[in-house]
Amino acid sequence: MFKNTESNDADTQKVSVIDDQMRITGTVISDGDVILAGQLEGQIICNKLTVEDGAILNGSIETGEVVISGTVTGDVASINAHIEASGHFEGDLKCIGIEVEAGAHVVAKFKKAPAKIVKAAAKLENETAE
Amino acid sequence: MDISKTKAVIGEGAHFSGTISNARSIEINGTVEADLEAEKVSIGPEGEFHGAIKSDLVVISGHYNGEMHAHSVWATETAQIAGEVHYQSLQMDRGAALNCRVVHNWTEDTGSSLPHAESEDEVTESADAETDEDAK
Repeated sequence: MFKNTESNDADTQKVSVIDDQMRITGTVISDGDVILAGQLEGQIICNKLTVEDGAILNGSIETGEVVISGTVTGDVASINAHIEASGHFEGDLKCIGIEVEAGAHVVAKFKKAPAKIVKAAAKLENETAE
Repeated sequence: MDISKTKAVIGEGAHFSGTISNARSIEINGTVEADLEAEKVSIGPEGEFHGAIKSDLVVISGHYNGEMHAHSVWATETAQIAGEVHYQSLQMDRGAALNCRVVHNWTEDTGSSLPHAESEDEVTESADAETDEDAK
């Protein structure tokens, strides 16, 4: 499910956008990218997730890459997580790579990435090595 | 990134279930099982929507199944609609497949003085017997 993000850039058809007015409760599962600018309560499983400044997410995230500029409360399982200066995060981080910008608000427990994520990361590494 | 401020999109390959509220304009190219309220809804040729829609304008090019209340409904040539459609204006392109109960709503939003006109203006285009169950 988690692909190399660079190869996915041209594939704009697979990008899902949740605009800043929108409120969603439920589950979003996508093999493409998701940009969240509104509010979501529930679960997101996708390739790359961008939580924009002003966006609010309560729930769990399972992605290849996550960029947090908004507010996220919950569990994150991801190969790479990037929390920007405007980002607020509270919850569990189960990631392989974590980057936190100066100024970001992070209250988190750092845990071992689940087997699924480790496997996806290894697969991705093999693909890029080839 | 400006796109995120104006339009919501459920992309191809995305699967969403739950409720969606407060949406302005939403484009659906993936699969959605939800109850939705929005100003404009567009279901793309590859899109699939199950659930209720309340909207001003609904453009359907994909699959729809559910109860729809819309001011304007446009079913394009690739549309496949099942369930119930309540509308005030309806456009149907050649090739659109409607297998549903179609109700013209005088009373909703227009402020019309015809309180019981609904049943007289009902058109049932479906061969399914079940679609007649609510007929008054």
